[in-house]
Parts: sequence; structure tokens; C-alpha cells
Amino acid sequence: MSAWQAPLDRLTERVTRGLARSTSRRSALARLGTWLVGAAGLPLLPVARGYAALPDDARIAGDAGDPTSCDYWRNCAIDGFLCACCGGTASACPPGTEMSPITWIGTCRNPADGNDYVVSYNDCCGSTLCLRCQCLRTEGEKPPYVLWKNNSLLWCFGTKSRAVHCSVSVVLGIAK
Amino acid sequence: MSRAGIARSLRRGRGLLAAGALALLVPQRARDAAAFSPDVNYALHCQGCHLADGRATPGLVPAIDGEIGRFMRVREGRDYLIRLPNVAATQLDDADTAALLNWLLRRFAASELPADFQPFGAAEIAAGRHQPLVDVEGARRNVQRLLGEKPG
Repeated sequence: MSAWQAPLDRLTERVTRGLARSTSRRSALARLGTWLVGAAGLPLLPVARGYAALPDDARIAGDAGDPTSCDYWRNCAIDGFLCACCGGTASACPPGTEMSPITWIGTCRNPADGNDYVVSYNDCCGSTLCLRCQCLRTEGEKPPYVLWKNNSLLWCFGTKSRAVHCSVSVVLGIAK
Repeated sequence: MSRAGIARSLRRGRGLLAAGALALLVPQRARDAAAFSPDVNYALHCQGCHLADGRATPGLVPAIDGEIGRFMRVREGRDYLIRLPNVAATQLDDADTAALLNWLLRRFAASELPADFQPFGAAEIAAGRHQPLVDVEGARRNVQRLLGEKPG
């Protein structure tokens, strides 16, 4: 042990022994648990605030509230296979596929609150066609000569693979 | 045309150039959306390709924050921005297009804007968008030369 390590070692031992005398293991565990629960909540806070304005889809009766239905409100302009039926969700790709960053974006009206929301229709790429829950809805969609507003396009741009598997409807916020 | 058929025609990285060329066919004063704020219009009309933060997708989409602010130092640079096919043909009227360009320049290129930058107005948009660029790359190189930069 070097000359500067010995005092450090003694100090550490003194502090540790003092801590052990003044606290129980149970109280230490309780405090640790409090910190862990608190820390787990922290990263969720901004996200929760960001989506606070979005009503719970479970409140919407019928197919308009079912993410596996073509009539689901967010799917108002989707063309393809719903990722919610293909191992993903309405807004997340199935494992093994990659969400295309480049996409087309429109708006859909949420029947729960009557608001229009900005919805991004991203393709999930890197696997063969899912072939489940095929939908074609065209609210606000434009013909192929307005390509950036067209949902017939295969939107696997900027991904490793150009093979499309399914499509998601990601709500970006309220259109106002 | 089927989705697969269109997809085939867009392979080999030429898809977005094709989109720009086809945009020339769009009626330029068409407007079918409710009036939205510039940030929502950015999401609806630009973000699909330029992403939420305006960064580049290599080989497909140039960065907004890379140079467009510097382009505002010369008249030809302002002209270039308005006459880009997808700007000229956007489904917004002249005033909303001006507001959108002013918003995105301040949002993504504020540090590169000249101190005396004059915001776009509806009349300037109207004058430029009726003459969409045919040779986009050539116009870009011309602006770079005017700025004393190496065309790239």
C-alpha cells in the first residue's frame, strides 16, 4: 500500500463503521428503494407531459379505438399492414424490423376529443410483407404526383433494407 | 400504380429527385388544409423527409441546418430556396409558405443567418414559386460560387 493510500483507507474504514453503527440495513434498503423508484419515474415525466393532451384510446368505443382495426382513428390515411397485428404496436415496429426515418405525415381527427392530430406513417423495414391487417385509408392523402403526401409509396428510405414489413401511425402532437 | 410498382420506380436513390420533378405538375396555389402554425406546417409538409431536427439523411436528403442560412446572404440564395421544387409546389398559400420558411430558417439555421436577414413575405414567395428550378444542383452550385464557397 502506498503512503497516500493508507490514510484514505483508514478514513474509509472509519466512515463505513460509523455508518454501520448509526443505520440499520433495513433503513438503507428502504432509502435505496425510494431512490430507485424516484429515478425510474424521472425519465417518464417529460413523455407523460407530452402526451397528456392525448385521450386514452380505450375510451373510444368500437373499431375507432382498436389499434388492430383499419378503422382505428390514427389509421385514417394508412396504406399497408398494421404493425399492431404483426408483432409491434400502433406506434412501434416489430422486433427485427427497422423504422424508416423518412415518411409521410398527415392529420387524423380523434373522436374522443374532436382534435386533429399530426400523425406520421412510418414503414417498418427489413422483413417480408406481414400480410396481416391490410388497410387502405386515404384521408388527406394525395395522388402519386405529390409523392411526399402519397401513401402508396414504399417509404423504406434511409433504412438498411428496402423491404417493407408493416406500417405504424405515430402521433406527433396536436395540429393547431 | 400499385405501391410495389411505385416503389420499384423509386429505387437506386433517385426517388426524392423524382418527387421533386413530379412536384412541378402540382397546381401551385392549391390549399386544402386548415390554417396551422408554422411548426405544424413544418411537420406536415417538410418533416417527413427533413426529419424533426432538419438533419441530413446521407444520399437522400440534404441537411437544412448545413448551409441554407448562409444562402440567405445573397438574393440568388433566397431565390433558390423559394424555387426548390418541393417548396414551390407545397400545398400552402404564399403567406403560409413565407411563414414556414421564416420559421425553419430561425429554427434550424439561426446561427448562419446574416444579421440583416429580411424575412420572406407573401409577394416574394408568389414571384418565385411560379418559376420552379429545373436544374436544382446547378442553381445550388451557382449560389455556392457567389458565396465564395467551393461548389459541392
